[in-house]
Amino acid sequence: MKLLFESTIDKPIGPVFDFFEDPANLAVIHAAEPGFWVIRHDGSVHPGCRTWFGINVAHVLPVVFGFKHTEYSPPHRFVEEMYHGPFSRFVHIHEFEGNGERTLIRDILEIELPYYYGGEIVMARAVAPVIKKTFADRAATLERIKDRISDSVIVNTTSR
Amino acid sequence: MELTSYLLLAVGILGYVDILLYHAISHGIRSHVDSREELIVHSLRGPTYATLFVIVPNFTLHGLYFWVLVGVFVFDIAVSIVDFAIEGKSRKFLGGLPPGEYVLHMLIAMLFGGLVVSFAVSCHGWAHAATAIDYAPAGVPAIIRLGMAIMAAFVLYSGFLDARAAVRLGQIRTSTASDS
Repeated sequence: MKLLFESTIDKPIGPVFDFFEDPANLAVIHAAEPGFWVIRHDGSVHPGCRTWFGINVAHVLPVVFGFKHTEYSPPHRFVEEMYHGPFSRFVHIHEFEGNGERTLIRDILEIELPYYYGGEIVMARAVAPVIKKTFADRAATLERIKDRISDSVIVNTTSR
Repeated sequence: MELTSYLLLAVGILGYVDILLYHAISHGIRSHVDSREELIVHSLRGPTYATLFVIVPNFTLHGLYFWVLVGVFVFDIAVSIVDFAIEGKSRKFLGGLPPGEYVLHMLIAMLFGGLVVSFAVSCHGWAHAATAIDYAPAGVPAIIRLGMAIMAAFVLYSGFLDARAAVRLGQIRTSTASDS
């Protein structure tokens, strides 16, 4: 299954990309979800780096994911692929298109659930709605914190 | 063996919930290098529980065979103790054992205790009989005995998957160590 999410933010592409390429900011954009936590990351989304996080499904079932970053083309695109987790395939493509002071953020997800967990049926009826809500919350959080993005980029840049 | 069979069925169902939700979906321990020792321990449960699922609801074991079955129970208790001892380290990176899994393990351990007591109370007389195995279905519906036979096949397969994963993770660990 392929899922596409787009949102626009009133910020130039540079700071937006810088914000997203810091895996520590995963916790910031998922702050609205109490069941999300970052376990460990390598501090970058350069190819070969890894990011681990967990989500609490239905408040009772923690599910741990490990992603390996595979592609890095600043400031337009980076990609990561799941190498630990319940899906047989989970590729997350991040794309950014600048338009002056605005940036279009595009997330493309290619996800497959193994047949023994219900395959496409469970994916469509149970998993996809949760992912759609997650990305809606993520866009709302981003809109709410957009004025802090430049600040956080400055902090993160100086700490690297 | 009626109560013993029902208790074993309950242990089996909760065990499957544990494997599916926590070992597979939640933590994916079959692809987690730190969990290799835990997988080795889990793989031992495959043949152990397959034996129990087939024997307990279908047969009576006398004499020496009775003691072999007692040995299977003792072996499983030892496996559980080792499992409890190592799973904290095995899951540390993944955030530790989930609270739900702790609760599930506690329930399974209590039910298994009840199962052993039930077996000891109802079957201790078998120890002094002449060594023999008799086909003597417990007083449970045939569909349950059939279900437990299917569970035997599943748990054996699950144990095989655990063993295979442990071997694969051992090779990954070895190659990682030699690279560094």
